[in-house]
Amino acid sequence: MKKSGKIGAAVAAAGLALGGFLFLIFHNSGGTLDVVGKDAQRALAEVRAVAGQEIVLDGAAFRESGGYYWMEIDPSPFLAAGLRGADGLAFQFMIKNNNRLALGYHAAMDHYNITFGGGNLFEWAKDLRTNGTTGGPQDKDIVFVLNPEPLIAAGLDPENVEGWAYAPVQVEIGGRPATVWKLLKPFDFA
Amino acid sequence: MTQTQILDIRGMTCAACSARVEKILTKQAGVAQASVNLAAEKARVEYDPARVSLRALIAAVEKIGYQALLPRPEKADEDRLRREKAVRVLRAKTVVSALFAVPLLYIAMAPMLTRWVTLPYPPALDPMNYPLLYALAEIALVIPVVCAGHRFYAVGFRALWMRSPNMDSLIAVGTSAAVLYSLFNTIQISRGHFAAVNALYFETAGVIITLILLGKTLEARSKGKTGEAIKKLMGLAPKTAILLQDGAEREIPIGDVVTGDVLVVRPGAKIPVDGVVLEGRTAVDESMLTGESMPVDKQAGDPVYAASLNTTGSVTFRAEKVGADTALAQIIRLVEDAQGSKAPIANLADKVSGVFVPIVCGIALLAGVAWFIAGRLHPDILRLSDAAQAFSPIQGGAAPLTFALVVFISVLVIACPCALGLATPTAIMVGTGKGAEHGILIKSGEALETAHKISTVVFDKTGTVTEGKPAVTDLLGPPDLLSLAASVEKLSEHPLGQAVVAAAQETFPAADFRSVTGMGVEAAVQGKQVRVGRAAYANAPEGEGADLAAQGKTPLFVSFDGVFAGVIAVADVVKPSSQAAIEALRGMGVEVVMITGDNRRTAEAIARQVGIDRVLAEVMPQDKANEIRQLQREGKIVAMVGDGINDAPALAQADVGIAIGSGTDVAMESADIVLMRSDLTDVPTAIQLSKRTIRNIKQNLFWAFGYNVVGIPVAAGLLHLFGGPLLNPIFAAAAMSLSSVSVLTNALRLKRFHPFPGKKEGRSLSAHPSEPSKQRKAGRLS
Repeated sequence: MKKSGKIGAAVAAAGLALGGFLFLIFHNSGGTLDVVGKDAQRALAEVRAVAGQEIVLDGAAFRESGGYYWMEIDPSPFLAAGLRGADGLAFQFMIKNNNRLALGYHAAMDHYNITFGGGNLFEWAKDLRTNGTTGGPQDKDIVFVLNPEPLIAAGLDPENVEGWAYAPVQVEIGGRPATVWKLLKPFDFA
Repeated sequence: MTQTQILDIRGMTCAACSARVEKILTKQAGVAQASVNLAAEKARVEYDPARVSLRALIAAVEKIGYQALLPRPEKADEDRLRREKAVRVLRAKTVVSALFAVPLLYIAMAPMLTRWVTLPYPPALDPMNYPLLYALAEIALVIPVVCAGHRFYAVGFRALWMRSPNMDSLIAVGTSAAVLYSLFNTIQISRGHFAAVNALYFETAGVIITLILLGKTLEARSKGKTGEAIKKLMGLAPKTAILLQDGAEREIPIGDVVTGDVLVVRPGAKIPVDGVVLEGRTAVDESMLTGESMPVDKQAGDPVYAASLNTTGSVTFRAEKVGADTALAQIIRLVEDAQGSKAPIANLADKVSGVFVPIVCGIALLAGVAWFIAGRLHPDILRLSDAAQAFSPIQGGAAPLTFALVVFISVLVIACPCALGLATPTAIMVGTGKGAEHGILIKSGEALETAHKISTVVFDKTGTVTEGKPAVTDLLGPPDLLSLAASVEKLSEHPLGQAVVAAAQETFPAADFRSVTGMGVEAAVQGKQVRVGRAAYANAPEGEGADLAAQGKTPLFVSFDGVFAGVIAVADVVKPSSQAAIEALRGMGVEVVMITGDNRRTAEAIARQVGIDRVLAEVMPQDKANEIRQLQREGKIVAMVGDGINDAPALAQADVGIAIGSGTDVAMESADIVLMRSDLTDVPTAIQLSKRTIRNIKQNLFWAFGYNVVGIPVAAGLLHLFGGPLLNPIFAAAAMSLSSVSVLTNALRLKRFHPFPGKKEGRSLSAHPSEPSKQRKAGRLS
């Protein structure tokens, strides 16, 4: 075979291989390149299924409000721990649905997360059915993460919030690693 | 009956290639010996044409994937252009590769560097939010890099298929493993296994290819520089000649000149080929060939040499030697042969290179499997400490397969047979080339290597330590003694008489010349009857001239009108450079011996003048080799320096035979080193150059071996066992490229070689051996 023929054959083979590969990719991802965003929506629906315990992740409210994630936390343990001025109110966090950048994937934990700003976020396992059962890195199915500083300023004793852990967490601030203290409420549904 | 053939070998990329070509050539029936030089890209094959054809040898080389070509004469420009084109293509590939590899590295590494520095980063490629986009972007960037480095795959996998893996095979397998594993993980991401984003190694493959291409470019450029001496020699020859045919002049390419052509050379033009002057007078600057700075007068009957510069007049000459037969071509061939030859010191590196790649593949596989099994059994063993994660390809813990893959790729990529293969030939090329620049033609790598061990230098006397022709050394008598004696001797043909004539400023007409056999000559000059000859013939007093004879000189007695007038002493004078050369050798701790067939008294007189302590006098020509053998039996490494046919056996017997350029062709054939300038200070220079070259080779081998001995265990994860970092394959690639470049750069340091202080720097690159200049003869006393 002539050199040009060989080159042509090689290019054609490479093109076919690349085409096949890309087809496989798009076929697997269901036609979207934002696989995290798509899968997080699916996983979020499963999280809603466990609502009704101490956490309300109100998917219905989200749908009705026309595009907001809405999360409520029972304030009573915080009030018992000295928090002032929050009687009768639930903590409410919301984020606009179309802000894709608020949605993230935490590879080390195999979690999705929604960042609400102000150091508050919510993480949930990518797959609640298999989380912690396949030798994965952790067994926390969902975790509430709150920034304790404004609460401490409002009189909260963070060490004494029932059902919540006050612990150091590795985060990135401005892209740099830092250790900050957070209030954490993990749930293991296993 | 064997014959030797040089073949140009193309397509070799590393020492494993040259070892493979050498092996396949040696295996052919009828091949007595084959030696392949990677740096010169040449094979030297000794074969029996009755048993194997050249065509079969070429086919055997081509069967294993390389190109074998018969070297063509006048291919200097072609070779240069080919090398320059290769450098240009490599440079273009490197630039293309770098253009894509740099952003690839950036998008891969920037998220990992956030713990130290925050770099601007496109949110849409954030691997934690958009892993599939991130992976596809990396694929898009790595494809052009892989295309730029396609030769590694074409050559490497073909070599692997032929069961003769080379350096390209290591690169091809290593980067292919990285790309295929990353493609697999991209598919995993598309299936929702987003953690696989941490196991993408496209940037590893991209940067490895770019760095290797960069290394190859630098290597090709450096290789070109190692052959600069040859280029300089080849550049001396003019490209065209003016042919005189049927009374008309026509400019023709140098390749069209045939023996017998009559050529015209104008002032300022270079002599195109070797020949003999037919018409005209001129002065020719032969400094580029002989080192003689003064132009040499040429007239009808005088030889002229290709590449020398015609300065004053226009001459017509007949071409006697053309193409490969010219003195210049022979010198070039000699240097090329030396540069293509191997020094024994290269043997170990050659042996290692031959088995290097398969062993490295084995180590890589073994290390990968070991880490994989260890990781499966004890996952914690794969976890890197915070400090060890710096610049590591793995952050935190890793799956056993990922860890094993990183180790596998790193070992393949860091192993570098190139440095081993280049360590010796590059230094030999630069060393022999540098020798040629100083008028020292070293005929083989073996000679270059042996020269550094020389403990004794034996000089032939006549023509080596001395000029080899008698000259007037002393005048005792009236001022007109020399001119009157020369006027008589002018009519004589005696060599001693010719020395007198050459020394005289003026001569007068002489009449009634008479030669008395065994006594002398006489004639009437300026009204005086002048006799020149033995003491009795010139009525010299008893004992007159005895002190001159004691100094090894021949006294010629002169009488005017029967009355003793004076003495003219004639002797074979010591070359101006002899004493300095011998001092330098003694300073280097080398014993200096003089050997001669002359009587002991003359020999010792000459030895005293130049500072030689040990004299072997009255040695018959056939016994010179025995004397050398005797010195060798004493455990000495002996160099013999000589010029005559009678020195040839001794030159051959010596560990290193050094022929003086003005000597006979037989002597130069027998010698290992030819000093083109007849300057004895080139002897210590040659030894110095040998020492420097061998030191350079040892440094190169040390670094090349050391690099692999240290690099491979580090890449295999040895440091990680002790809590250290895991080598990033990118750094492995950088180190691998640097190893070749550092060996080449070290070899190029030899270009800065200067002869010992006090030696006069000549301008020559080399010299034609056989024609002492007229100026040198005439100016002997000045």
